[in-house]
Amino acid sequence: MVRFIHSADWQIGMTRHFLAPEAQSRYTEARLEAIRRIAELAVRESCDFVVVAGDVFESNQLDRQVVVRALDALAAFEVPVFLLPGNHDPLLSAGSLWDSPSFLGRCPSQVVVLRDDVPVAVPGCAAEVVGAVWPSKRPVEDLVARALSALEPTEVARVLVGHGAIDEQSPDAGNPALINLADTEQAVRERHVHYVALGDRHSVTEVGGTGRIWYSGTPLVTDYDEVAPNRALLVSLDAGGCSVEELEIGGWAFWEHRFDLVGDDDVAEVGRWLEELSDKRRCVVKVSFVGTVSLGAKVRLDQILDEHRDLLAALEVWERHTDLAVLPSGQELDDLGLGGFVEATLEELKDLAGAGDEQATTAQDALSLLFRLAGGGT
Amino acid sequence: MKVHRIRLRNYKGVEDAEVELALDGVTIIEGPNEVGKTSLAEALTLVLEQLDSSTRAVVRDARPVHNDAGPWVEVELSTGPYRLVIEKRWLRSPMTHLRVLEPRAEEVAGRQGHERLRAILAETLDEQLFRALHHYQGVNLEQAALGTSTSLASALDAAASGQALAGQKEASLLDVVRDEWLRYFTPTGRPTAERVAASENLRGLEEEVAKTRAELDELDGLAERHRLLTTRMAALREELEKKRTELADETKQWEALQSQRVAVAQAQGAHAAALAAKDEAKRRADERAELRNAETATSKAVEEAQKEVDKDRPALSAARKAVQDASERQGEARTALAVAASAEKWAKSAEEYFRRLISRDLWSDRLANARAGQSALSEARQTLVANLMDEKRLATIEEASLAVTEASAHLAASAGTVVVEALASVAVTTGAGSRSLQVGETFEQALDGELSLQVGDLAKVTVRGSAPERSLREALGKAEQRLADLLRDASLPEDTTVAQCRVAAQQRRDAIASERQAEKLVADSLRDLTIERLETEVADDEAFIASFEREHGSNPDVPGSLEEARSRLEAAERQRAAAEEEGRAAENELDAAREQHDAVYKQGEGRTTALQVARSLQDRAAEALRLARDLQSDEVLEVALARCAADAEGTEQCLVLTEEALASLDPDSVEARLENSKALLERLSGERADAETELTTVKTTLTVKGEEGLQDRLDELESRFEREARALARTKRAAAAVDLLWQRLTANREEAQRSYVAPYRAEIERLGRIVYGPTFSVEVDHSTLAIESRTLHGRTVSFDQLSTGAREQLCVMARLACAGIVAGANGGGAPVVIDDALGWTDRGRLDRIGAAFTAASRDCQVIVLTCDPSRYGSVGNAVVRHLHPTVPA
Repeated sequence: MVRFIHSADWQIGMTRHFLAPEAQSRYTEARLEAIRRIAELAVRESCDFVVVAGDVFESNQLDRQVVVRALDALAAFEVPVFLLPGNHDPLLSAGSLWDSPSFLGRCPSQVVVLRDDVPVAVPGCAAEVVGAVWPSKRPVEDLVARALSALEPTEVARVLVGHGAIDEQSPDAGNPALINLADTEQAVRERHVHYVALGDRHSVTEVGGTGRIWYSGTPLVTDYDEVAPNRALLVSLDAGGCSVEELEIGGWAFWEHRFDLVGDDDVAEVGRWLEELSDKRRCVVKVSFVGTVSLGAKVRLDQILDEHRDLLAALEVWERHTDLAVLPSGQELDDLGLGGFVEATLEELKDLAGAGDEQATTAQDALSLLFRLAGGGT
Repeated sequence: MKVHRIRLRNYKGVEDAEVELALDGVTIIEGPNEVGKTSLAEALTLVLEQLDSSTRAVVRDARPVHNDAGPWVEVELSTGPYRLVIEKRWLRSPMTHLRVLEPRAEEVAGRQGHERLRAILAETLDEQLFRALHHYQGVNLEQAALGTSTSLASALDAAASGQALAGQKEASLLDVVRDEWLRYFTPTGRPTAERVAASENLRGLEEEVAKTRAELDELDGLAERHRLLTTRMAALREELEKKRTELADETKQWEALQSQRVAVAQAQGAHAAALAAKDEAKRRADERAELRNAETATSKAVEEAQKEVDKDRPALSAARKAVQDASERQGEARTALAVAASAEKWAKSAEEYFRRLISRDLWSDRLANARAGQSALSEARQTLVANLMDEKRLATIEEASLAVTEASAHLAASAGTVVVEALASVAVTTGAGSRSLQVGETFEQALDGELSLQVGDLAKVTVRGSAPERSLREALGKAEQRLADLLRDASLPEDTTVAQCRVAAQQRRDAIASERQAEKLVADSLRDLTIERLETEVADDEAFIASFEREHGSNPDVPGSLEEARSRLEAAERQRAAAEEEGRAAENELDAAREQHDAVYKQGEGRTTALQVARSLQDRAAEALRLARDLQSDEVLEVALARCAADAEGTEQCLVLTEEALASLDPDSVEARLENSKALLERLSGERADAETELTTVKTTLTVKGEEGLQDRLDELESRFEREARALARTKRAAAAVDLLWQRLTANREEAQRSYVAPYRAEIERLGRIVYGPTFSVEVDHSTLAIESRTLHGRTVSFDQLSTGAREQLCVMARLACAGIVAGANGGGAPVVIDDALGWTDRGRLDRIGAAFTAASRDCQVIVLTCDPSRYGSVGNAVVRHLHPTVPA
């Protein structure tokens, strides 16, 4: 039996713009931690090797320091690690990170970069790895199909490592680089390969009906829309079959939530929702609000957001999806006890705020400001 | 706030004084100068504002003049819900003691007491109003600073809208909003430098992002380029290899082609040589044929020429005979003409002889007449030279003579005249001479003085007359002199008489007539000739006559007359003309015969020459043919020509064969392919070299740039850009909000000020009309609440241009109006303190001002400090307090 870990989309060097520098550095560190975690699991699960199906690096143009640190993390592996160049880090004829002095100079001996589609025997076990290597960012053919075309059926556990979208799942039907699922399944059934380790999709996904074609997902979440990130796959192959088991890797979470605000209770609900998030330092949150609130409620909402902004790795208000009208209530204004020209101003701003045009937002903001400066809501 | 009492101790010149004040209406505190009444007002401010530990100038100024104790003030006052007593001492043993009496009793001392007091005042007192309502004489002609008073604003607002809403809170809020606004805008309303910098920074970041992204894209492009170049290089290598093989094959084909071309060139050379030899042989054969033809042709020409020459001979002989005959006839004609001419000459000579005879007589007559005329002419001209008496001169002399006669007559008439009448012949002798008188003759002489005459021997008579007039004498003298001059001019003696003169004139006229006649005769005789010519003509004729007569005098054939001679001459002339005619005919005949002869002769001569030429040509042709044949016989030439023609045919066949062989090699195609292959090889090599160079460059760039961490840089820049863009958007939004708030607030406040200035103005005008009458009105600035102008009796004067007294009155009334409004609105406000004002106001006006004070101070406290209580004597509701000096003198 052959056991190995299938991972992909490490995206080392990735930057998230919504993260403040401090959070970004923790996030970067978490990425390296995820690599070390996979190395640990490889030992714990008695794996023979590890494959990383593309996008190991976020880009070919990374700072030397990033590459060096990644290689340092890779040094933690005790078993061979096969790295496949993907669309983010293609193996170019020149200028590729894989051929850079900083990579070549420090690359640990157990790390193998798949540079062509010739099967590579895994030292110490009856397995071989075939890479469908990306030679450029925009290949003009199905690289998996190409790698498969040169293969004959074998009894050695052969793992094909590929990267990219499957034709059945991609909305971009015209893309010539899409992986033909039917052909791939055919190759699996004919035992040209025994497992197809795919990368590119950041959520764990099984593809087709063979049980042997999988996306492992990213070991550390990178975006809000990822369904099952923070995983790697533990794959066991033997004569009888193939078993795949998900392994928890990353500890970060990206949350996206929309709140409908009608009254002050809804504002309190926002507070509760945020409060309930666990491990806030590793939470990236994007919220949007729709509805109408009073000046006081808006002030409280802002206070809640401000508080949590400091706690969370990032808290974004999704302006594009936010439609929140702030209108003062009569009681609020009475409580302020303002008269004369200030009262007249208040009335004007209320009219402007209710107009629904572009100036309405400004008027709402002005009202909130007046409310705050006049000591309202405290 | 209302002040109940004020007590001072050791304060400036006051040792100890206490004044109770009326809470509503006017309290007049009266006292002479220097008793410290102004100190009361100062002390009130001091106790409310200064810590007991203060050593400021205002505090030091309060030191007593009479001892070194610390100045001490105690004031009891009500403000808002509070009633309190505050007591303070400064400089020496400083002390503060606050006792709050109402609403809840409390007592605080020291700094806490001061702070509690400040808190109460802050809560209840509009301190700006408090200060503004103080009016100090002389130093305070300016208008009260009421524009910033919130309680006035509040009161006015209440007066305007019925709601007391715009108070301290609103004013502070305005300040807070303004502070907030100034976080985003400069005082002139522009974005702050920080915001501008942030915008620029963001723009810079954006550019940097774009630049870095472009660099990354360029790298991607370069990587793709590298891939393409690598592929291309491999393809080029294969292509080059293939092309080189092709080129080698094509070169071999081309070399075979070149060999065949040499063979063709050689065949062409041989053929050309054979053709040339053939042409030469042909040329020689042709030349020989020409020589033969020439010889034949010249022989034939000689024969024909000989025939022509023979044909001319008889014609020439006939022509010669005709010439001889004509010549003879011409000789005969000439002889006949000579005879006729001789006869004509003789006849002519005879005819001339007779003509000469006549001519000589004519010439001789004309000569004789001419000579006679000339002689007469000469004579007449001599007379004319001697006789100058022409008609004009005669008339002049006659006139002069008449003048003498008249003058003599006058003289005689004057002197008398002696008349002697001869009765018998007698001689009368005078001094001038003697004259004989016949009987009946008279002698008359003018008497000039004395005249002595002797009559014969008979008597000697002396007549003595009276002396004549001198002028008459002179006239006579002049007349005589003129006459004498005229005569002299005419070359006549003085005694010539007029009659003589007339004779002379007649003679002259005759001479002129003779001259004319003679001239005519000469002219008629000579006509256009001279005498000498006439003489020559005569001599010539005579010489001819003499000669003719000498020659032919004895010839009996001489005609008898001119007519005969002429008839003979005419006959001779006719004969001579006939002879001439005949001669001419003979000559013409001869000419024609000669011409005919010449023509025949000339023709014969040409034919002879032609014959000679033909013979010469025939000789030359025969010679040339002979010479040529000596060199090569005709047969030899024929054989050579045949041989050369055969040779040329052979070489032509050879050439055709080799050319066909060359064409079969397809030379154009072979060459084109070779050229193309060479060019292609060169192009491909160049392309490969270019690709190699570019590949090296691209690879180097990629290697160098690949490790620069461009992606990281871009990520970082994008993060920063997004963060700062978000921050800027937030700031922008906040700025827009605060700007809107600030603009609306200020606009509304201004609007409010505009509306609440109305009651303030109305109150001033109410008080003013008490003082100045119903035409009084004012204009008030809505933001500062200062009086801008005053109108009285329809005349408007700006505040600054009013008299000092009027300005002071207005300032006092503005404070009263303000205090009245504030007190009326909320029962608060502050006391109006007027220190020794209205010094410039006259008595009459003061009475009315008193009424205004009463009207204004119904609900408020007015404290008047004065040294002259009579100024305020007319204030109805006033309480008067006397402040006496307390300092020992």
